[in-house]
Amino acid sequence: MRAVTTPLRSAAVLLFSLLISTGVTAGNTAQVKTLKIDRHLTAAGKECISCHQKHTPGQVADWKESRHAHAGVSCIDCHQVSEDSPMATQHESLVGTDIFVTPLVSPAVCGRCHVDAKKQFDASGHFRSYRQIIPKDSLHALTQVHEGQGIPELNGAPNETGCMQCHGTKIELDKHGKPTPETWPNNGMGNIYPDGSTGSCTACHSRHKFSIAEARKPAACASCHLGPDHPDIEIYNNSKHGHIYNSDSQDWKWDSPPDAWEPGDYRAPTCATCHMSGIGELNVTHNVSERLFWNLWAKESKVRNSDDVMSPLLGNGPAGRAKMEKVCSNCHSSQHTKNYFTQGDKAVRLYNEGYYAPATKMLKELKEKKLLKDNPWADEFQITYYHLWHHQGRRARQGAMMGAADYAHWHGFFELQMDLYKLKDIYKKRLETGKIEH
Amino acid sequence: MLATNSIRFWIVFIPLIGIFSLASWLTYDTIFHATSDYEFCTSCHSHKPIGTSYLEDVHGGNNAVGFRATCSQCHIPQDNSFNYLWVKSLHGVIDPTMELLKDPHDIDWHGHREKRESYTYDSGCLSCHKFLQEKTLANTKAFLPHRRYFLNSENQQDSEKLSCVGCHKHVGHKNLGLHLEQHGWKNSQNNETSSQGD
Repeated sequence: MRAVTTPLRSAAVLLFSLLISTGVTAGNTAQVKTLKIDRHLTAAGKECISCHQKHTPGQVADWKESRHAHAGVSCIDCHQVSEDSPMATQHESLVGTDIFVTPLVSPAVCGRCHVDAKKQFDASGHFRSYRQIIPKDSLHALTQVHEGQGIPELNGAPNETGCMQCHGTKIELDKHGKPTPETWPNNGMGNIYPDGSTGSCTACHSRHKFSIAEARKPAACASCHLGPDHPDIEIYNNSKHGHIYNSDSQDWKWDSPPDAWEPGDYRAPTCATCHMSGIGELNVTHNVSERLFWNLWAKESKVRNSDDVMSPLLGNGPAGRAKMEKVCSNCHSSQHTKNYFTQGDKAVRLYNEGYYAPATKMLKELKEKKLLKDNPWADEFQITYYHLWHHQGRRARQGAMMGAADYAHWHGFFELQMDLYKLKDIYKKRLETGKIEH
Repeated sequence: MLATNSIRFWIVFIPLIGIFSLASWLTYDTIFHATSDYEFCTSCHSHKPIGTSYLEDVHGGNNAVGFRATCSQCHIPQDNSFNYLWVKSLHGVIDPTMELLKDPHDIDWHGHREKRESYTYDSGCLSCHKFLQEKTLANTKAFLPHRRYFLNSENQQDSEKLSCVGCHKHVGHKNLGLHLEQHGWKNSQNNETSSQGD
């Protein structure tokens, strides 16, 4: 009896473990030998998929999860360029064909189908991400001379690994039409592509899944909006909205269609909900400046009042506030909303009048009297002034306007008052002695 | 007597009007057709690369069925006869004059490509692509932008409207950038048109 059951049992165990291992690998493209897809793709289009599935399975696995795959938009639809494009390249398997491709997929390509999204982006503050820093000599001096220590072959590093990764750059090509290591890869929001178009859709909709759900989550914004100078993800986490998101978002519905993602799909808004999404009466927009009243990152906060996409005051403050109030009204009473903005506006005005104005007055006077060091990064007054507006000043303003008590107070006004006293102290000493202290 | 003369006059005159109308229609129709196609348009030096790139394109005959769109079918509006006649006459006067007066290489073809929407007419595209709306609404890949083009076109401001060549940047002239370079029109700066597929 035993002699019979043991081999049977072993066979059952073997069969069971086979089933388990099949279950584990199901859905994993990397382990499927050939992903055979028809979907009216061209022969060349199908070849991209089946070959890249072997060589870069992660890309194809991502694409397989995307809505592009549902619609039959595949590799070649976005990566193919005409032969006369400066970006035109051919890898080995394409040589001899009339198919030319590029790793660079610009917003102009996405905009061929996503027409309105591109138009709205082109009219938004995000459009400026790289273009606005082009003329800033003091910033280039900071990264190349100071951070880069003026070492010719190395001083690009701080920009290339830092600034560029969020702000973008002008992507340059080598003589073979391939992007240079000084300018690519990066997912910077404001890239200028060789075709002249500006932006990076993948900054928020990471490739190759390009997920709407992903871009709606705070993490999509957080990869750039963080840190000492604009801790927006920290501010969000500090806010009640973030509290609810962090404690309760596992089963929220993230993939409702644009304009139809409404309260009920979620219990609290994310960054995208307030700044971009179609909610209530409002339509979805890729113009992140549209619902803003203040500029909250400049040295001094002013009300937005410009049509010029290159202006830091891009937008219409009162109209932006009215739109944001409409967002709030989906969940809050008008009294709640009104009082909330009264609280925030008061904090922004306090920063402007109580900190920016007196600090800037002292800075100007010291400059006139030649009592500032040439190197701002070795000058206690200028360093403190920079922290006052660029770090603590932004934290106080953005914390106050986005419901983050700790950032409005401890990381904001508390630090601001110490900065201001320090500036006053240095200012007084320099005026009394007529010298810069060592 | 007088009445008989009058009748005779009309018997002769009415057919004459008919013969004149027919002859003039035949003449104009022949002229219009003769001056609308590749052979005539590329006889000017400035249009050589325009022609060679056209021959490489599907619309220029590089297809399996032997079809070819004429220059005028795309570059003269097809919405009504007066508009057609007006734009064709303008080209008929301006283009040869400039060909004579200008060095062809002073024509900024690369720059002109950026303004293609002003001289390529949707009415031309749609006069052949008659069922584009039905076809693209049933095609998942083409659906999104073509729905935007067709369904909203009446309610949109001009700045919001899409045009065929706004998106199909290379249609009609394959690798035009390379052909221009080969014929001596150097491209000083990269621009959107010279860089993308359609």
